[in-house]
Amino acid sequence: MLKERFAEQLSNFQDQYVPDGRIDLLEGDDIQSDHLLSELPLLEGSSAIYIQKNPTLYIYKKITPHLILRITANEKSYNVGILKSVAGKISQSIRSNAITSNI
Amino acid sequence: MQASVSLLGHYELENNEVHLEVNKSCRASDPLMLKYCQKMKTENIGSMTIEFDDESFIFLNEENGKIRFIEGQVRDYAKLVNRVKSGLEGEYVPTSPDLTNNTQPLKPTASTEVAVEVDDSFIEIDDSTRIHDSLGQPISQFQIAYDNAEIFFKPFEAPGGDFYWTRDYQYKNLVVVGDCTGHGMQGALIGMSVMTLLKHYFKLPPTNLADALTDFHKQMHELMEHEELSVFDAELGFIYLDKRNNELMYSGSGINMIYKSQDGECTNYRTSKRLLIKGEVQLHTVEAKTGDQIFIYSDGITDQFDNANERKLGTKGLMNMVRDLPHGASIKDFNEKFQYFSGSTEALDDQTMLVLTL
Repeated sequence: MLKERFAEQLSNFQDQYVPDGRIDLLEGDDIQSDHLLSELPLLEGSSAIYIQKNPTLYIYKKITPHLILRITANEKSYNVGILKSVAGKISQSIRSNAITSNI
Repeated sequence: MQASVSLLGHYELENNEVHLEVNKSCRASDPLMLKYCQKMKTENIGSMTIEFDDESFIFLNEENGKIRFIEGQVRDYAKLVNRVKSGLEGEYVPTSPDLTNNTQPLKPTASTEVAVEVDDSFIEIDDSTRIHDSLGQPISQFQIAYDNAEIFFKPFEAPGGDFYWTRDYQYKNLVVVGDCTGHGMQGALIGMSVMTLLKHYFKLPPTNLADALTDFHKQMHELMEHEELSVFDAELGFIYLDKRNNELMYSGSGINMIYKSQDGECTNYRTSKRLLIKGEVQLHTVEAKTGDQIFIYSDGITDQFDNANERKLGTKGLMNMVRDLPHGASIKDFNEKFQYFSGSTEALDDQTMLVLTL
């Protein structure tokens, strides 16, 4: 499981960028069982989804078609712009590490 | 200025139906948008943005029970999102009348795109806000030196003249809260200049905070080439923490701080711009302990009127409010009390409250 392989890296990213939020990797069944993502059409062609559900911001960033980065944070502490840039940075890092380690 | 949209519509809750005013999208259709709107309704979602690989997006926004949605290019995101939020009914202008009310999905082409009139002032405000905000830091930066850091940040009018900034050094940490003259665009322009100067001036840790403050204030005013622009000013509060022994110094030019120890004792540390100009810098030293809390705030907080719009919160009121907060209070605890006090009375100024826990 990629999420297990990247657990330490994700934990570091969480401490660094969203200490009062949460960063997860969703893969396989996780994607369909996520209550916000489930039953949403157009997921295949999308690269990211940003959801504001008071008081929480959810960022879903597609890393590969079967791997999604999810950031959950309080909207009082963050804005979408900051989280978008954090999501871009993390997904890029995971993508390049995954390629380097041939996962 | 115009921005092209390929989809525009709204969702009627009563009939559980979507209505497409413009549809030139190759991917959207009534049933598809209906699914999104239903999802927003059932999950109580305020807004949703879906970005696509081809640099386009669909934005859905719920306001007063009505969901509006729009599709466009990511480069026009800020303009279109603001337009949707401000209400599009009767305001969009199709280039050709026969392009509206077409509910059949079509392949988008340059010639079939529909233009939406966009108010220039919206664009300027939003783009400026984006540039202004890009200078700011996420609150997590403050958590490098502090056990916890949370912010209540509410500009009277975006982008606003309040700001917060921090720099972490090897042994010390500097936190600055600023309140620039005016609010909205005027305050933001000053705020950007002051933040830029802060970033350069405090690249290295100051050896003497009082001297650094006096010099910084002088340099801040030298930024202005024309003396008549005397509106260029900012009230600042500086927290300088020595991480080795938790010795904390507080100084500034008009921003005040409440220090709350673990036993609940609150002390208000005031700073004065007038004294700083005279070269009499007030430098407060606090022997900080783990678990103590710092509440540093702009005057928009103390200038807030109560729910009857009769009485300002004031410094004493804020002291009482902070004293009543539970030990290790979160910004949510503060916000609850602050909202209870202010009710629906509108703010008069930018409001910032930064809560740091040692």
